[in-house]
Amino acid sequence: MSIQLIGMNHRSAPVEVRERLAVSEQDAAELARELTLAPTLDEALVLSTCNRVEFLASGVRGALREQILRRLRAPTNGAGIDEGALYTYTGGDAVRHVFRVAASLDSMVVGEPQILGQVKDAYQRARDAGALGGQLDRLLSHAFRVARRVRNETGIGKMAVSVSYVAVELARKIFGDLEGLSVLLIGAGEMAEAAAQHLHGAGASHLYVTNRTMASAERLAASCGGRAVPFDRLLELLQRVDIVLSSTGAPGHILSRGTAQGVIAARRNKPIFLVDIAVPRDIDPEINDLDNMFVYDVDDLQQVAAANMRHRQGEAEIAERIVDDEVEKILSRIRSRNAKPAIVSLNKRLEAIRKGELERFQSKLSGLSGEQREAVEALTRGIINKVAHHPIREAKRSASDPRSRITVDDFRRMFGLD
Amino acid sequence: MEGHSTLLLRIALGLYSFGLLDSLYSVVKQRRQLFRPALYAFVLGAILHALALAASSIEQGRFPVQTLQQMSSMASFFMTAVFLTVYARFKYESLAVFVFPLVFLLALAGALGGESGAASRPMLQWWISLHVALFLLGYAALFLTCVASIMYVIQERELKSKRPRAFYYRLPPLGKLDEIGYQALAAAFVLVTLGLIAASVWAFAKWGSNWLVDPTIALAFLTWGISFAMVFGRLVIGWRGRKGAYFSIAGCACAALTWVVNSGAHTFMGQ
Repeated sequence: MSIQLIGMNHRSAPVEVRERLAVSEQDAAELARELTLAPTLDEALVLSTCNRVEFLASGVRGALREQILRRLRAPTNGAGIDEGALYTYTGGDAVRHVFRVAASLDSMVVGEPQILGQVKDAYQRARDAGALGGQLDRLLSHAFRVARRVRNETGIGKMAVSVSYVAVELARKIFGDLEGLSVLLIGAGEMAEAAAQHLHGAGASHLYVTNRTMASAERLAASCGGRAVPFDRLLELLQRVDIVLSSTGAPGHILSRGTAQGVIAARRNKPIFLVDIAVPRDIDPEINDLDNMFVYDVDDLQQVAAANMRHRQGEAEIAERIVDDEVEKILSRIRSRNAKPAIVSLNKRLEAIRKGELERFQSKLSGLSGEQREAVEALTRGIINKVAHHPIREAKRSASDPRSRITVDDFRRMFGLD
Repeated sequence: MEGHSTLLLRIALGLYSFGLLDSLYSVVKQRRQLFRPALYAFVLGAILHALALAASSIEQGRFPVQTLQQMSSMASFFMTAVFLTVYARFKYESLAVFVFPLVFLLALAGALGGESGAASRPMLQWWISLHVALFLLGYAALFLTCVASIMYVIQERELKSKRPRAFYYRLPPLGKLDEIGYQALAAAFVLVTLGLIAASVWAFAKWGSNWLVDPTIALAFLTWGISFAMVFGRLVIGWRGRKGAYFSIAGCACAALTWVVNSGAHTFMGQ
């Protein structure tokens, strides 16, 4: 029995190829169940997302690849899929791949949080469909723990990589928590609105909307649950709110350095975060030089997103080490789990051979006295034990030592235990 | 009894050394893998340290702040207590990078000299011991203000530069640093004020007013004056942000100077 995985992701195949293999969530579970009907496969799981299609199974070595390729070559699939787009992993490599996928290390945007949910869904559905047995079940539960560990011990998912979330993250870095903060939206722009929604979701409680035309301010305020305020009250608002999202179509700055100086003085230096999403810009960038005023324009936000991305990459290296560590752990667990039943069945088998042979010579041994009969029993048992001693010791050792060249599978094959 | 307190202090010192290790590791490797064990060691260290201080208090019948060693030990305990209180509330590991080494060094200074100096000088009245203890606790709080202000300056620069580097990710948000710094400052101000009142009442009663000209006393009042100015500036004028942080750092540096000059007994005491 071995764990094996075959699949394609955003790196191995373009979307035109991936979409031909992709299946819906429901079909994925059905497909997994179908796969387990093959006598060579015990368990199966199918994961299909927009960036990857993966088949995971346990069963006879190589059986999964065979099943999948047969399906791909079936005439119903139209033109076959290039096999080069598929990757195949077995044993420890398959385990590592599953861990990396669950921990979002294999994702297009490394550290994005959705993939774990998708794996969990696929797992749940395959389980409900009866396609999972003990081994994959344990493997996936372990994968979820690995994902959690990576999340807790690295900063891989902490920092925003999309521009509208970067605004929220920066607000957090400036104010601490956003509970009870107020946001002012100047003008209407999709990105500004999205950022306002994110800020609200993160705890900002008051949203003011202003616009040169009061009607559009009112419309926007109604749609995102804010309060419309006339544009001529802008200065007064700037003295009160904590975060400003500006995206007007004005040709020049609507907030100059001189005005800003007055604003910060009136605020008695209470910090303010000004996000300028307009092009051309609404807010004089020099305002950023004033103490307690933080001005970020679109490029600045993008720059932070890029830096966060690089930060993630660094964290990903630490995460890879965690994955290595966990792969080692589960492999040695699997090995030792495999060793015990193999040893038990070896003992059973040897005992059956011994009993069978004694039975075969039953007629010739009938003349023996009770004492002699006992001696024959002891003699045969002794031979068996001596012969089995070293292989059993080796099997136990290979189970606990990940670098051992002999696997429990080899052991089973050697003694014909399957 | 004396043996007990010394032994307890030495064990506490050993536990504090985990904190030092964590600080060094996080500065060199930029990682905080050792933080959890170091934190647990610190909590345990603080408990043993408290027992050590209680043991010497019982032994001497007053606050164990009679000698320079004892003051160091007491200061390191207060620092630990202040840090653990703040950590329990804010959970910012980065504060520990500054606090852990100082706690260790102060505890080391406290443990090195043993109790030898105690006998060579007349014991301080408990009224004046209280003055010393209050000042020490005030200094611990002021040190935290200083740490928060330094972090504020660094984080503020990260945010203004718009090019986040390592500090941006590791340091707490500005708003929280401001809050920690200000609350610690307010606490320090109250403690230093009380400490000064305790000392003044006692000194007036004993010496009249000629002690006021003692230079170290002048420095002590200067510390109080600085912390008063810091609180006043923040509350009334609205000093905050980068300039406020620079001012806090300068104020803390002055206070540290006072500590260095003043930590022995005042000169007039020998008169």
